[in-house]
Amino acid sequence: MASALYALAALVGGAAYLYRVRRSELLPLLARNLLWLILGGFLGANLGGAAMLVSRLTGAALPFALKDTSILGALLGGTATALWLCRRYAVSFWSAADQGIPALPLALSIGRLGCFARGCCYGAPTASWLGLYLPDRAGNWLPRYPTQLLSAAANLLIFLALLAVERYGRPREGELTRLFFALFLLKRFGIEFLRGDALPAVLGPLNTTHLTCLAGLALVGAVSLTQRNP
Amino acid sequence: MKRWSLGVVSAFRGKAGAAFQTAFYLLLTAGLVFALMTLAACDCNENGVEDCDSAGEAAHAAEMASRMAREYPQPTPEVRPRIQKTGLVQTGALTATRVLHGLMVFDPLPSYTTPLTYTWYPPAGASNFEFFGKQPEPGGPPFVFRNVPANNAAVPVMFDLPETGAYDGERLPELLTAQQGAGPQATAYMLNTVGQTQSLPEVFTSVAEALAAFRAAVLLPRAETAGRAQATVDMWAIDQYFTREGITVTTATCQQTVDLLQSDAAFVAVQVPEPPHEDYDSALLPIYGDSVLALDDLDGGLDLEAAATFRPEQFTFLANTLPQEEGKIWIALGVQQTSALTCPTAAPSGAWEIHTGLTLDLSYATEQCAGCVLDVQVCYEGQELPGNAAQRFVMGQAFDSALEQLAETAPNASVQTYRDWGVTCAGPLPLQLVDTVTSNQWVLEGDSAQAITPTWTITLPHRLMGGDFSPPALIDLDFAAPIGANWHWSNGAATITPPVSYAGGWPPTNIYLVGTIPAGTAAGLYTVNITATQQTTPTDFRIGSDIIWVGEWSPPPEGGEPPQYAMYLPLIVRMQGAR
Repeated sequence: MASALYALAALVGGAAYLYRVRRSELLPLLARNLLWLILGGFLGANLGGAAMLVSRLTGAALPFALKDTSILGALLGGTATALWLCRRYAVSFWSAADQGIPALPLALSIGRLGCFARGCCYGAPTASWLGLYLPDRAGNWLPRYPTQLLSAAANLLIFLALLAVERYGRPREGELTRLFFALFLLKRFGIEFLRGDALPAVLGPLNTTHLTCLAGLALVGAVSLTQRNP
Repeated sequence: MKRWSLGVVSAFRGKAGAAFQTAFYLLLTAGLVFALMTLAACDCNENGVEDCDSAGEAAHAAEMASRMAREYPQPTPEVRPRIQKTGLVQTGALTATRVLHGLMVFDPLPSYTTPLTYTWYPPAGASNFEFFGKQPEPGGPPFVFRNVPANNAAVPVMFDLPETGAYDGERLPELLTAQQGAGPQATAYMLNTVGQTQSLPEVFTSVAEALAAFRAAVLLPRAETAGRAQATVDMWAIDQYFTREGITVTTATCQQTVDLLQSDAAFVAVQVPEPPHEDYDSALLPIYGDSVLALDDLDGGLDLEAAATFRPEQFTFLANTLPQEEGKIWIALGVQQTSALTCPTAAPSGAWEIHTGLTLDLSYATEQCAGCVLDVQVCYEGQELPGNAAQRFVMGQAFDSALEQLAETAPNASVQTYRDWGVTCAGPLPLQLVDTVTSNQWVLEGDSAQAITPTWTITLPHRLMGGDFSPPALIDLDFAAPIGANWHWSNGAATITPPVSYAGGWPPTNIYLVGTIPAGTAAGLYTVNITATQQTTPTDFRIGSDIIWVGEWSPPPEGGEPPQYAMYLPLIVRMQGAR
């Protein structure tokens, strides 16, 4: 069920991306490159698990806690792959990314339903009105924040916001992509406080995920300034 | 070219061909995602955790393999300390009962020449000590004798036993440890019973008469039996892993944990079969060394280990207050205090475990006590709890309210409070000796500790594993829970009614005890014991136990005052409790 939902996310996201391109002669090539993007994202998502594996094998302790798999890693891997593809085909990264990026939160929105079905990315126990009776990965059922559903809804809002900005905001090249990253990182930063599988805090209440999001936001800000004042 | 192949080629040309290729790649992308996620989500070992979730697998494995016991051959100790009581001396000048004991290393190995350190812990309340021959170092009790030659004659000591025992009890243990350098200790245990001194073989009217009898009775047998060979016997190696997720361990909270473990405030009581001995002779306690406590996290950044050791000052309390059984004695274990443990400044971890290893020589018991269920209690000493105000508050809640509640609701659970004595114990936490390593015996795994808030549902995961039953065995399940309501069994998907059919082998059979914690349940520590019994062979049973912490819980803020001890106490239980 979960895998089917993830596949549906890729199908819908990919179709939305191709629909937005509208240049039929490029569609087969772009569709084929989706495979590379998925592979890059998958590898990036598992960077944490790979680092932990190396740490275990070598006995060298990691300086900070990591997750086995993470969406932030997937974004990193996907972005790196996109940069490589754009360089290979000699196209502007920002232009290509602006075309495809709104489809990403749509796909992620559906993908989070897969997480919900799978029971991963679960929320912390809560007695608040937001609580739903949900399990963690070990099958412990408790009233928890439905973080997967909250994340799916937030991704859907980001998708709609990007479409609105594209239509009414007259964004310059790359701004849509940077807006997506900013909104997504903010969302991920907030959701992490509600997660039941959150990493331990390393700086005040902030953990590695929070700090990664903040670093990503700083990078987006810096790139935005650079792009605005070339 | 064949017509059909021309058709395929033409299908990939033009607008229709582009659309076809696009759809093909799109579907291939979806298929790739499906395959990758299915692969990542594979749970081939059917433990409820995806195989690619390495941290989850490690946590699950540690939780489920929470207790591992095996029998393996180990040499018995090179030295055997011994206490002998030879008689009662009534000089008429003393108001108390004056006794004469001999302290010695009994029957050392022929090659054994290294000087020893003796430490004698006399009975609580004893006084007027008079040593003959070798004198202890100044100070004491306990009395320390250093650089004692291996062939040293026994040290006679005369002292007054109190007319009534400490804490109004009548049972007054004394201990004698012998240690070569910093090597493992061997410890003799002698139980004195106030009011039963008349049962001693002789009553002397003078010290000289008593000493003469002592030399004849004690020294001669020692000389006759010298020259033994070191024996190798099967001992129990019991490893206990306790994994906790969701409660962060930082450097500060780690240090607070180990400080508590190393303090006098925390100890664990384990009831073992009494080693064989004569009435006038001591017994050799069945733990000689190789007992460790380790605290590490699943990311490999934290790795602490300390030796476990006896807590002689707690033996009197145990001998008088905990439920006594014929042929069994209570021993108190704690963490060695000689060198302070220091937690590393590593990254904090949300997934960590305590591992304890204990070597237990029960070779004197029938079949090495295989299948025995040892009683374990977790205790702390002191009316004034250790730590800061927040820690005292949580510890106080944990023991006071939980134990009172337990005592009310489970009077047969041998749970009592001993606040009048300044000591509190919680239990029982049954420890069953089943060799799960060298023989394919079926086991009940999955002891856990969980925190929960009233009105929530709690799930206690266990599983049946190992063994081989053809036809499948019917396993009855039972539980004893002092709290909770609507308890029922589940297989993870649906409610089940025992017995469960169990064939052994792989995969394990998962069973879950599910219940609801009612509103108003007092905050604190509770234990739930689970028994799985083969229906056709009621004597073939396995016991597991879970610890439930009821109350609000949230990870402590970084740098704040973490009320962590509430969760650490069960960990202490686990580690020593497993022994």
